[in-house]
Amino acid sequence: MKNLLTTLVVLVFGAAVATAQGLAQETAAAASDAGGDPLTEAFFAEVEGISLGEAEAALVKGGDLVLAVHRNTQTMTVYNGTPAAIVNGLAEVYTVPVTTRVVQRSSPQDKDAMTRNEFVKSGSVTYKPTQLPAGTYKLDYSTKDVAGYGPGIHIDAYVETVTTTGLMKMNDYFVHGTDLDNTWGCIGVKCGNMGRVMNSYHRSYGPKILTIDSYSPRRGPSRRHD
Amino acid sequence: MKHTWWIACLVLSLLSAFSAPAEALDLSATLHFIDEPDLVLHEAFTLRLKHYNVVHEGEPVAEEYYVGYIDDTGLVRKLLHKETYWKPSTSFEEEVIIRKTSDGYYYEILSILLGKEYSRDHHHYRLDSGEFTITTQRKFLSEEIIQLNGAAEKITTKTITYMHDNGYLWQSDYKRAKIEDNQYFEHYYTQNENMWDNIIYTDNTISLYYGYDQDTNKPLLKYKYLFSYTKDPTTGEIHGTLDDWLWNIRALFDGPEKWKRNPLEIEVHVKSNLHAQDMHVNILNQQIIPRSEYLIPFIYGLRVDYQ
Repeated sequence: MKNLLTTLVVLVFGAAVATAQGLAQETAAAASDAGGDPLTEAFFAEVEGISLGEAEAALVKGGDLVLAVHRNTQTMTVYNGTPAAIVNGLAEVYTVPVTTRVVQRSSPQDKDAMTRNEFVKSGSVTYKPTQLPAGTYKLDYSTKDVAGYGPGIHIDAYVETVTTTGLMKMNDYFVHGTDLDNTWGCIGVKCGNMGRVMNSYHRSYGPKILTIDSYSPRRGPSRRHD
Repeated sequence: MKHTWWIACLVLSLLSAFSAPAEALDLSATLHFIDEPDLVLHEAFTLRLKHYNVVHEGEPVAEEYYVGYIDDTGLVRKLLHKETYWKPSTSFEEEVIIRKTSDGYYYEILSILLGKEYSRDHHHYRLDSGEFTITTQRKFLSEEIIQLNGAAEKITTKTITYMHDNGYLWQSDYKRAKIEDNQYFEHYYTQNENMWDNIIYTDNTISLYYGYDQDTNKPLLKYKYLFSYTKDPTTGEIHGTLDDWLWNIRALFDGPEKWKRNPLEIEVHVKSNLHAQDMHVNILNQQIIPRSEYLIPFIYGLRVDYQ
C-alpha cells in the first residue's frame, strides 16, 4: 500500500510542478529563501503525506532536483529530495532571484521580449539571444565555469535561434551565477546564490530537471521604464 | 465525349500528383557566362580567424581561412575558403571562382554554421552604371535546415548604389558607408528587422555598435578589435595581428562601464594591390570578400600605423 501511494505521489508531483509554473503569480515573488513556494505548497495542501520514520527520512533527502523558474517573478524555486520527501515537507526547498531576460534594461525594446532584436557574438556564431521557451528540460551536466561567471549547470535545450547565417537550433543554455541584469538566454542566478544551487545539484542523485513557465497572460509585457 | 473529358482530367490529376516536384532552377542557368582565357590572377590577401568558446573559455571551436586572388583591375576573382571545427571535428575546403557574366559576376560559396553545411549560396552581381544588384539564391543543405526555414531555398536581392558625390561611398537598402578623416563609418540609416552592427574603423581599431549612449547620443560601442600592423619595406606586404578583442559589458549586459577581454585570433596578410584606384572595384570587393570588415583599411586604402 505504501509503495502504491508513493508511486501515485511521484506521478502527481511531476504534473504538479509543471502546473504550478502556469499558476505562478506576482505574490510568489515574496517567497524568499526560507519558505519555499507558497503556490506549490497550496497545491499539495490536500495531498495526504506519508509519515516517515527517521531512517526513511534520511533516505529521501538529496534525491531528485527540480529547478522551477517563474518568469513573471524572475525567481527560481529549488526542490531537492525524493518526491516522498517533497510532499512530506522534508526536502530542501528554497527560492532564489534570477534573470531570464535577454533585453537590457536600457534598451528601447520590451525588456520581457523573448528574443533580443540585436545580434551578439559567441564563438563563431553571431545570433539574437533568445529566452528559453516554456517547458521542462533535462539538466545534463555541470561545469566549473560558464563565461567567467563561475560554476553552471547545462540545460539540454535546443532553441530555434536567429543567426546571421540563418535559423539554427542552439544548445548552449546554462543555469549560472550573474551580477548583471540580463543574459543571452541562460538562467542567471543572482545575489550570490549559485553556490547553494550547485550544492543541491551535486547532492542530487536522481533525475535533474528544470521547468520554466510562460509570462502570465494576466500580466502584460513590461515596458522599458516599468 | 463527356466521359472522355473526365477521364482526361483524372489522368492529368494523377500525373501531377505522382510526378516528382520540379527541381528549383539554379540562378546560374539563367546567366550568360563570358570565357576569359587570358585571365591572370594575383594573390592579394590571406585572412585567418580562430574562434574560441565563450562559455568554456580558452577552448577553440572553429577556424576560418581565406585566400583572395584579384585580376588586373583589382577585383577579387578567386577565393580559397577553408573552415575547421573542433566539435564536431570536421573541416570544409572549397575554391570559389567569381565568373564574369554578360551583365556582371557570379559565384557560389558554402555557408557553414556550427560545423554543419547550412546552405550553398549562389550570388549574381548585376552591374549598372550607378549601382549594382546582388541576387542571392540560398539552397539549404539539410532536412533540418529546410524545416527550420520552411522552404528548400530562399532568394533575396540587395541593391548597392555608388554615392561618391555626397561624401558617402555607397548606400544599400538599409545601410550607407563613408570615409572621413581617414576613418570609415558604416551605419544603418533606416530600421531593418535583421540589423547587423554598425562599423567604425579608426586608428588600427575596428569597432562595432548597435545603439547610442542615451546621455551623449554617441555610438555605444559593443566590441573593439585592436590590431597591430607591420609592413615589409621591400615588398610592401602588410601583416596584421589582432592584439585584443574587447567586449563592452555596459553595452552588452547593462552592466558597469567595463571592457572585458575575450579570446579570438585574427591574422591578415595583405599585399599592396588590394586597394584599387577605381573605387567601384573596392566597393564590389567589400561585398564579395567574406569577413571583409577586418580588411576595410586595406580595401579602401586608409592609413594604418605600423610598428
